[in-house]
Amino acid sequence: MATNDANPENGASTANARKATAAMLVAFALFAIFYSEGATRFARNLPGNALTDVLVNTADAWHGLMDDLGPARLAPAVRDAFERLHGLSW
Amino acid sequence: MLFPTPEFASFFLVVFVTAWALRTQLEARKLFLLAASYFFYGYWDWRFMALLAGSSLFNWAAGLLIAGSSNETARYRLVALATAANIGLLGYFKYYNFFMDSLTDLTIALGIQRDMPFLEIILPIGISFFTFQGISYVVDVYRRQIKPVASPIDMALYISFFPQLVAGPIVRASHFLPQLDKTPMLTGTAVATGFLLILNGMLKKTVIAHYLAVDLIDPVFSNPSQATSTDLVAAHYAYVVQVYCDFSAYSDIAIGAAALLGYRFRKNFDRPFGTTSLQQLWQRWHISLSTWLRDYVYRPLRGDKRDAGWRMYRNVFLTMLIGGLWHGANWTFVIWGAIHGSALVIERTIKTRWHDWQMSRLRLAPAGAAVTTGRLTPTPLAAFAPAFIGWFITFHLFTLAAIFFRSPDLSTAAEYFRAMVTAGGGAELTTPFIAALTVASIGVHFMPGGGMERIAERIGGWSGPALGLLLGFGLLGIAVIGPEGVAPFIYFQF
Repeated sequence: MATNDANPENGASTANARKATAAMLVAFALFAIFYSEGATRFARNLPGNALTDVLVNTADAWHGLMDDLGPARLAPAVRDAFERLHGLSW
Repeated sequence: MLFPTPEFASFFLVVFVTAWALRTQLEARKLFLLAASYFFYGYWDWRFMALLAGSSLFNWAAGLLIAGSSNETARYRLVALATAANIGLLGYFKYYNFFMDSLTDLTIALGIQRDMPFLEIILPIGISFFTFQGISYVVDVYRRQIKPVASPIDMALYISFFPQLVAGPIVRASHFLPQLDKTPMLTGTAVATGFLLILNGMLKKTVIAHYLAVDLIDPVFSNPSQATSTDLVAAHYAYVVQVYCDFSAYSDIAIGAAALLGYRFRKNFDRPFGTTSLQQLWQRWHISLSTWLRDYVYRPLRGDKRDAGWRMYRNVFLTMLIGGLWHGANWTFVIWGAIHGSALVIERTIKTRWHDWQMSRLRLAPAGAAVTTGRLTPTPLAAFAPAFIGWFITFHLFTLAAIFFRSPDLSTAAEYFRAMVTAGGGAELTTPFIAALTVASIGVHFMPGGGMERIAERIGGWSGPALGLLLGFGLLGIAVIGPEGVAPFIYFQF
């Protein structure tokens, strides 16, 4: 069943789907930049094969770059602050 | 494939983009979503995909047969057969060994012990949920509340739609199937609602439920006799928060993912810890199961008559007992259901007597007394006191009964209760962080409802990148403070 895309509601749905896609891509990009350690961990947990080796090397190189540039150091700093709160005793 | 994983995030992005690319091609969209749902299910264990397909096709055919028959006796027999087959499937996978185990205990007690045919049965994930959806479908067709679905694709998608397949909410055919025949719409508010629900679910599952379980609940419940009274008391409060955060998180993510794909699911939890009666609590906790039990267990037990008195109490008790057993093949769940059933019966009895007493006071009140709404107008304290007492009893009944729900067997539960009273000792595992997490998680249930909806309306007009920053930094914060791996959701075992 096809519907007319000239309907303003239909056009809005398409625009909102694009908006949501853009939002998810931005979220993925933020993860890649600020949480590159997660990418290395994910790659290392994949089943071992030639492709995985390439992925692990790429993820390691990316994480090294993010660490050198600075964004990858944000996650450990936040985690340390959280661990201090987590470790409080009476 | 668990929700809070990179695998699911990648899977969902592909499904989202493709589903909206197929927006106006409804049949192709349904086929794609069906294939995606089977991929999602098969990612756990591909062997049970045939079971899922078989269950869907069986209920689809049963619906057509029931609707096609004009003879009431034949219709009744068909719906009884279809329901029995669904229950038989669930019973075989979930309760066979429990039944054999209980039969062995009985034969030992009677001195006629026999070797029972125990089987190595793997419980298919989500079977309790998709079986209940199948039952609700055939019964609704029988009751003529819905028309049978003509397309097996629609039926298969209703049963297997991936956001709700594994741990609910239990979606009704009358609510979901009509949505499949309309061109899906996506508003800015729906996008924002979807993202907020996913963020909220991730926070509850990977942070709150995780730390409560790992730091306090799991060590205390694994050996209650070694724990202090303070930790035992704290852990039984924390456990209901963990179950709530774990299960409502799954529901939130499921409802959020469905909203992003253009489908509306009903709310499954609505601040249940702020309720002042058990009846009210069950109207706001796992709403899709409570309403399912009401419509497909309580109402058939009640029949056409609106019974009062002992028959109604018996039906309430049996419904809760069945609800308890649905959670798992263990006497601890039966006891848990019996406690809730008995408590609901007592609560209804007290409410009826209280109402009668108030009415008699009203009749005796002098003319001109402050009677404005059919009741004597109470002072603020007189209004607060019953509400507080109601909340206190309801909440503690729920938390204490949950000790049976969490304990692996009755002896552990008994040991837990004993140690809670006799062990003594201060907080060893209950840290300020755990105490604050528990109190705050209960406290939010007293806040006015609809907060998330208001925020979603406000941010629904934001641009994609702005929403992406909110979603990305929100998830990033959760991932950083959360654990490295994610434990399965508690309700996967049910």
